[in-house]
Amino acid sequence: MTDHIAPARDELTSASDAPGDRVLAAIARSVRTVLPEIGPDQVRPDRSLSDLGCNSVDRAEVVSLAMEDLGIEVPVNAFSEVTDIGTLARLLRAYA
Amino acid sequence: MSSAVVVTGLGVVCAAGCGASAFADALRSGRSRVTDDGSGALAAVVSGFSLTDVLAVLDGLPSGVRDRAVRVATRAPLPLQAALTAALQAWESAGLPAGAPPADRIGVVVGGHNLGGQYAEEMRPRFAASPAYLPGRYALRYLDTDHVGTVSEVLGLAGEGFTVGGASASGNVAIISGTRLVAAGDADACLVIGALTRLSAMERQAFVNLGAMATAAPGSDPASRGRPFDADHCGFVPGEGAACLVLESARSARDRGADPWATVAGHALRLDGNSQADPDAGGEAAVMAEALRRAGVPAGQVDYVNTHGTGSRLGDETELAALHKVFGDDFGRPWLNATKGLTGHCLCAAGVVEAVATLIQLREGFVHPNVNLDRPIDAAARFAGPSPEPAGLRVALSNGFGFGGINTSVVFTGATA
Repeated sequence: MTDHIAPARDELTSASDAPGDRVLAAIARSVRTVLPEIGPDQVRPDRSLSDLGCNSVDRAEVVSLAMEDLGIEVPVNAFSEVTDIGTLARLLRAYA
Repeated sequence: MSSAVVVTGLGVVCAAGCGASAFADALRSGRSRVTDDGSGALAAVVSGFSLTDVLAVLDGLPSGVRDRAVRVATRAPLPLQAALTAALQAWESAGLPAGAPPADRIGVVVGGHNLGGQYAEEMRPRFAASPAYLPGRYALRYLDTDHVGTVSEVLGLAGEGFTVGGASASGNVAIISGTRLVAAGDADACLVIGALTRLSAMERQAFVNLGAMATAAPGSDPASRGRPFDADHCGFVPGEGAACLVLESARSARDRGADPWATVAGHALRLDGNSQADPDAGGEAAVMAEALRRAGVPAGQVDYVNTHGTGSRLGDETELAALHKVFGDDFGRPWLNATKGLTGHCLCAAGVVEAVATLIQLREGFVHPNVNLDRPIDAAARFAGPSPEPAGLRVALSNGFGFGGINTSVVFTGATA
């Protein structure tokens, strides 16, 4: 599926999740596509997709939409490390 | 039948109209909704449909139901939104928001199969760009049973639920399955849904190459190309449509004071033992006769037949031959019309769309016009003409015949019968 090697754990925690970040913006767009009722400022690194009301199918769709938006591919297995929007953003950023 | 089954609610979304009232007007109008998409492909399509708009009109539904519909179906493909809409219309018209049987006593039977071909074509470019971009939700959406799950979630239903298939007879197969469920006492009520069938480009072309589907002709009005029972019939024109009936035990309907549209008085389903697109008058006559026998109604008392009538040369001729066998000397007695002339051929949904058409005509006492029937192929048949005709109808037959020799017929008797 991809030639990327999964990034090391420390890379996942070191990247920026500052507001205005393009990865975070892509996640926000994806969340709001799946759940239009979510406000743009609700998609924050400290929240989880589940907190925002995403079920498992919604979460999978948010992830594929965000990857499509960013033009990247992340192996499905890598998402097992994701706990909240911050770690999701760092994972996507590592492949961007 | 072990226990009488009545129809207490109905809904419809098709090219001819959204909701029973708009559809009744369209039946009277006698206007074909067939258009050309610009490429020569003819179809009667659902245009201008908005789930938000239809939910706003269904103000008899609890807000929780409408909120769930928005949550579950706003981004769903048209077939799913149309099926859900028809189900909600039927639920509301049956008076079920004011008091329904227990959730686990209400079933959902969806007539239709291979419903996701066009959706697959829409998803394919994303998959081709990268397999990772294919939404995981596709694993749910490609399943025909997504209709069952979606309707059950929105209405909170927990009885039996499943899909049934029978090609173009699927709608009637669903009505028969739902009727059995209620008659056997396994449900007090059952939503029977005919699923909107949107053909993919490849599926459509296969029907064209088979010689079964009408195509645009230079200089011809697209609306003139669907011509059931006319000497110039040239194949069927597909139509987008979904419909729903609420079937209910007569006891449950009585207990809640519902006003039934009609009784499902008899039904039959028989195979020809034939895998082909080759209808058989013997098989078609057998189901009409058996459905009438189960209803305890002699053929001579049938007032109206909603024909399968697709506009296919062989199909139309075969159905008329079957009607001659069933009715004999009374062949000229029942009114005959073809709803597909107005709606296009709604394929898997056709049986339920046409049941709705039948029930409206029974209740309102008219027969809808036959579209483009300028030169009937059988002079002895009592075809409805170009205008709606007042008609006191008590007993109606509704036919559905599918490729692969799947023959069905359902008898409806008016509430006053």
